[in-house]
Amino acid sequence: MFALSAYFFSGCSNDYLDVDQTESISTKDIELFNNDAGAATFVTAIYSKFLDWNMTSFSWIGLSSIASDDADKGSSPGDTGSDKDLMDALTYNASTPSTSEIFAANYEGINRCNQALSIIPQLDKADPALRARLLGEAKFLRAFMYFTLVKTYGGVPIIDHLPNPSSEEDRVMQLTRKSSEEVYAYIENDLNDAIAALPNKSAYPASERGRASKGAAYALLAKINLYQENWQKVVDNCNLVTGYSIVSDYASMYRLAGENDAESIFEIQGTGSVPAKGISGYSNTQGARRAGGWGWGFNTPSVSLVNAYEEGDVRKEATIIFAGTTLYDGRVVPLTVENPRYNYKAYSSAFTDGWETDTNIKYLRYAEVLLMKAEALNELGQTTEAIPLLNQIRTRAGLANTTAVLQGDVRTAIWKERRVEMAMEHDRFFDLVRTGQAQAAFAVDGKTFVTGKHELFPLPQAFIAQTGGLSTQNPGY
Amino acid sequence: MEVNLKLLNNRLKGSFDVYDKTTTNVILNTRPYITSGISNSSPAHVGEVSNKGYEIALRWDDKLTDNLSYWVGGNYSNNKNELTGLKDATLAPIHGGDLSNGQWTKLLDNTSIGRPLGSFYLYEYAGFDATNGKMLYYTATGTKVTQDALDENKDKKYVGSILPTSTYGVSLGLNYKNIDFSVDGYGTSGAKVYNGKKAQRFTGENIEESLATNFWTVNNTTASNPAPFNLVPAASTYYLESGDFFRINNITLGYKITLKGEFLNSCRIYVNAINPFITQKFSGFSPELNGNGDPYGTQGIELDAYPTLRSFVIGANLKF
Repeated sequence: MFALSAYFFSGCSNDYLDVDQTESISTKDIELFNNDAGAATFVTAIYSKFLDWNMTSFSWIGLSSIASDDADKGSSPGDTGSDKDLMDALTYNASTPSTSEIFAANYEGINRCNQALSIIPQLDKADPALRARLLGEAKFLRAFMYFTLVKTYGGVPIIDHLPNPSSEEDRVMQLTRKSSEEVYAYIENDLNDAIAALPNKSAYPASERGRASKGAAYALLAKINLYQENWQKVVDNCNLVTGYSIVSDYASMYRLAGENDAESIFEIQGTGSVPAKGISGYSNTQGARRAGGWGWGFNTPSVSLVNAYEEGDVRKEATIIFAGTTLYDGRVVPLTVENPRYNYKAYSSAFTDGWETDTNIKYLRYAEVLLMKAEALNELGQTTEAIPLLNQIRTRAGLANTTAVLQGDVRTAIWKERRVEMAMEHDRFFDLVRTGQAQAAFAVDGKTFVTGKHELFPLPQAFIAQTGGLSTQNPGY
Repeated sequence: MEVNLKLLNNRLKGSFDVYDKTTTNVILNTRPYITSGISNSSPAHVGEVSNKGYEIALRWDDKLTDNLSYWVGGNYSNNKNELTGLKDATLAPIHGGDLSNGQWTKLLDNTSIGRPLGSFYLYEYAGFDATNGKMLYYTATGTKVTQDALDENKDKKYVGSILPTSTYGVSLGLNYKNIDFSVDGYGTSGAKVYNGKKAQRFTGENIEESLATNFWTVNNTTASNPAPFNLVPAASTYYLESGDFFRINNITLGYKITLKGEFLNSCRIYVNAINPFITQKFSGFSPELNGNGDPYGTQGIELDAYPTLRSFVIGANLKF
């Protein structure tokens, strides 16, 4: 059939055969979007990507959490969750779906950013101030996704505009890995543009507090600086994250009432109400399994994490659901559930077993800004200024001030505080690699972390095959 | 290149063709690069398909007397079809030859380069286990396993195409006084056909007779068929058979009566046998399986094909 079509088409290539498709509205016809609401849809589409299954759900849970020492695969022994046993044991490879999906999903999001950045400037009938802000949001979100890519895979191709399918230059751009330094520089550039364009969180109406703000861009920039050990810049950018404070009740942040609270800088927004729109399957895959449960039972907090909490730390009970206890909303989790522990931060009270729930993911919180600043100050030799910041976090958790005084002890104390403060918030694996603690920490958790290999995840084999030699796989895979 | 010849007082005519044709810009669905962030496939002019072969046709006509003439003709063609390239595109794989039971039999993707179009992509059958009658298949590493242990991504292989490598035909005829006689036949070789009917047996489908009469039991461990089982059988070479056949599709014998009536000028009465004989290796009804005509559709797959009919016709041509 195809061979036959070729006979027909090779003979006539007249332009009148090229008819625009009418199945869907083409973005070529931008006049349809040439108003405020139309312009906003291009950025809404980027936020929406974060609710997708391949972006923020099962694969991301496997890669960022189950692979770390904070969590185990969980669920029943026979249910691998397609590859979560491999993620847990650090035996994944270049064809493992969890590692491949995160790569593809983030580039899908980046494509939406590039669409927005290409089309919004052409919408001259939309409010110029609105357009500027939307472009800032798109740049923040693109930076966010490149940060996910660079800390997961190392250097990756930088797609900075919509590729033209017939351009050789664009083909090479899409298939050639850049160095991680180039990716970080690109992220910084996007964030600086975002900082210039975005308003403070407080300037948004209450219903739009989930949008990227100037504070979020500064906080993400500080985190980029942290990963590059650019300590003075970490301090400077943390100081520019203003208008936030840590809330008094740690547990409240992971409930509906705590969404977009005073501590929240950037989070992924789920609404379980009609029409349901939440992170696809996020709560359900992590919900308690079997009799008395409501989900698949994956990503269970590890013994290593339980042991990391000091006596009296309120964060333990706020992070971990223990079988045989009663939750804050009165739900009893009986001992008949499959696993002894589950992730409390993925729990939705109102839409417990729903596929899309009101659960949010807190990606940037003011507590982390304080800890980043403390770490950077300590590295700069200003240990005495770092300690009070650390103690602020400890006090909220119901703990006494730290006993660490020397720079090395304070460093260890801050790292440990990061772990328990941000447990199950998809930061731990990357934090272990960043700080060089990975091998020792994984040994405690009974896993073998191979130095020189496991710092990075493998790029998808399908991508390596497409590059035809323009890019090479990460070492060890 | 083409050569035509006429020899021996025009009694022998023939032609000989050799060709090597490459078709470029075949339209196939391609996948964008992963980093483009677009997951929908789109059609593009990427395929290159080569057809190489030759065709021979010969015909001998002779008139021995005014009352007796005869002819013998034949043709033969050989063709090698191959997907030779896809530029740098990544194809959206086509899993074709659907058996309507969740199994598919043909694959077109980037691994298909160097294969003919319409190639079957199946597990390789490894006989059945004599101890329990279960069908076994080879894995990629060569070990024999039952179908639950097969890996769809690794263990299937290319095992031939629906396209024949050779086709041929013969025709001969004789006229003697008022009697005319002719025979036509044709055949192909090199094609593979899939006996999907042999695998369907849940709700009253046609099955092969041997399946009901000769299957593995503890007392018949060398039967021609495995033990009955209640799974959808994996698409494997067990069901793939040679499509070679030769068919006599026409035999005609006629007698012309010359009349001098005012009303009727002439009358020819004839007997005609349509598809009277076929020799085939295929165990199903007919190896001529055009299906829906799509090499990646049901072409070459027998599921519920209606057998080719054998008919005998007696008739008369009247001229007024």
